[in-house]
Amino acid sequence: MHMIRTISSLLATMIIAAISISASAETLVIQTWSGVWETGARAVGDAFAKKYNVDVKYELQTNTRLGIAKLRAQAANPTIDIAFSTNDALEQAASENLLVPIDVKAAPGLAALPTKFVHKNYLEVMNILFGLVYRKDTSPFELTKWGDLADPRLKGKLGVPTAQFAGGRWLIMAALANGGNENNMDPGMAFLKKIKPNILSFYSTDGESVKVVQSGEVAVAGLGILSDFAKLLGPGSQYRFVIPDGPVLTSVVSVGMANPKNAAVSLKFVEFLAQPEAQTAYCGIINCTPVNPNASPPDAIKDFRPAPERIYAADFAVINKKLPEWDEWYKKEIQAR
Amino acid sequence: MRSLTAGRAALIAPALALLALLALALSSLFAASVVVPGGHWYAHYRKFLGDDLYVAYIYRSFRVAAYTTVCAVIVGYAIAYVMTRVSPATRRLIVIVLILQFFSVSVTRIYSIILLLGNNGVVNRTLLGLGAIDSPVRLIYNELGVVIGLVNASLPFAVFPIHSVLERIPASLREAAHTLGAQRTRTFWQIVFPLSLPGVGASVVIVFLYSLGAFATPLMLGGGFVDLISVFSFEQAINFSNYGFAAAGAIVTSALGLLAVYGFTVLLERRVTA
Repeated sequence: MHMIRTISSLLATMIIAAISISASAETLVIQTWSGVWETGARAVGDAFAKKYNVDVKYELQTNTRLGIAKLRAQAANPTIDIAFSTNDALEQAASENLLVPIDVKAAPGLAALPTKFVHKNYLEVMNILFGLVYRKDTSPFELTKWGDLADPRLKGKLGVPTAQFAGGRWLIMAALANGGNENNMDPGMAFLKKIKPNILSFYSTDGESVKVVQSGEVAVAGLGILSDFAKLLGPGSQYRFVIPDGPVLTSVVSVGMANPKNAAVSLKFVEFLAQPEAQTAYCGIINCTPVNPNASPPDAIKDFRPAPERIYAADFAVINKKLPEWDEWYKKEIQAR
Repeated sequence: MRSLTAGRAALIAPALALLALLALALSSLFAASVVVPGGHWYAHYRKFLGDDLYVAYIYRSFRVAAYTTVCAVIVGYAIAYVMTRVSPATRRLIVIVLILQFFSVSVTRIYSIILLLGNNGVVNRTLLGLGAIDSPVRLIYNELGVVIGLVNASLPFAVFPIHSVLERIPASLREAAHTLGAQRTRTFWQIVFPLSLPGVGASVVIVFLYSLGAFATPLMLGGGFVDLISVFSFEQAINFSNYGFAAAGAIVTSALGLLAVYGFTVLLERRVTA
């Protein structure tokens, strides 16, 4: 009897303590990708939690589109407050009314950013760079240009993305590298047909792109993200990340607010993320370029930063509309033996 | 009497709840497939069945599921048979290995197959080292790789139903056949195998349906060349937000899968009762 009383009072104390803790701190749920992306989000999220006494929780998305699908599924009763995503995916989410508009007047901290990075429904945070990746120890030659992917010496040694990878950027890159663009895909499609004999396998996520190169399955990955490979680069490394001459394709990591019930604390986080300290910390882990002009990019990627005029501003309204059609073509012509 | 009825109801209630959930899920899937804003209700089905690209998903899915079923049931039967002939300690060991295999994380299991059979895998490196081949043999990133992966994953589903039937076959039947002069092979094909058919049937159905709906294995071991219907549904629903089209593909495959299973079970029942 005595033991039951002791356990009951202990439980009661724990419940009261839990209630008082939850009452004292606001909660913010951040959705992000796993791996290095999670580490980066945790760095800024934990700093935010400490500064504002907010209980920050993290949820992981397998890929960008699955993250948006999650927002869509819980649209009636959102539990995710902040979604890390890409600008093109958040454009789509906004078109489906899945995001809470950013009240710029209520967030003076956003003045830290040039206005072009602050959109109605999301905030651009940093740029990540795309290029080709190869292993010096297994590749038969040093690759320097996109055209090298069609070299017959790479037969059975090449891994390339699916058409849907990174919102269709592989197809766009193929077009850009051959004088086309999202409105003129023919040069890119012809180029993809030329490299087809070299393809060993396809990958649909950036995580897979790293895995196929690291395991030695392929010697070359046709398109990779610098942030994923930066940790493998450096003096003496067998990995090479190349951004060939010509237009450069980037992806813009952005954040959107998904929960109207928690908009106030979400806006506070968005404001926090716009500051140079948070952007420097995040980019230091992710190896990306911050959009805040007062934030510093990490040393590891300084050599890769292209001149701003080389960065191609793709029209994702066109790409999102055309991608299903291009995907069908890719599956019939490229992703088939 | 009342308590017995209440007991039965308590037992049936969870099953009914599960069936209701399944019916709801299937009906919402069907509803999504026929709701076409500004188009005919069958537009998704017409697009799916009218394009070789999408019909190929069905052919590929059924072909891979059939190969997997045949291989898994043959290997599974052999393991199940061995389990009935070995000591209890060895049997326990086999069960433990199968259970561990069943509960291992699928992605890790698949990745281990890549490390074993990949271009740079143990098998290819060994063959290259021995001078048996000049360049790596493609063991994965094709249907063979997907079937190997699916057989590996579905083996427990093949073994246990067959074993549960085999172990119930009285040893006296085999002994009687031997006493009457039957060889081991004849005893197996005329006594043991026909009696084990219900277990084989259960294994076939489970492994076939499991393989038909497989997602991670074809995605990782097919290398983008062997996408099955689940990959199609995932891409359409998640990457393109095209739920209706994804649902139409899933409904067509499910219907054909159920038809195949129904036909198989009817044939099997005839064979068993003949």
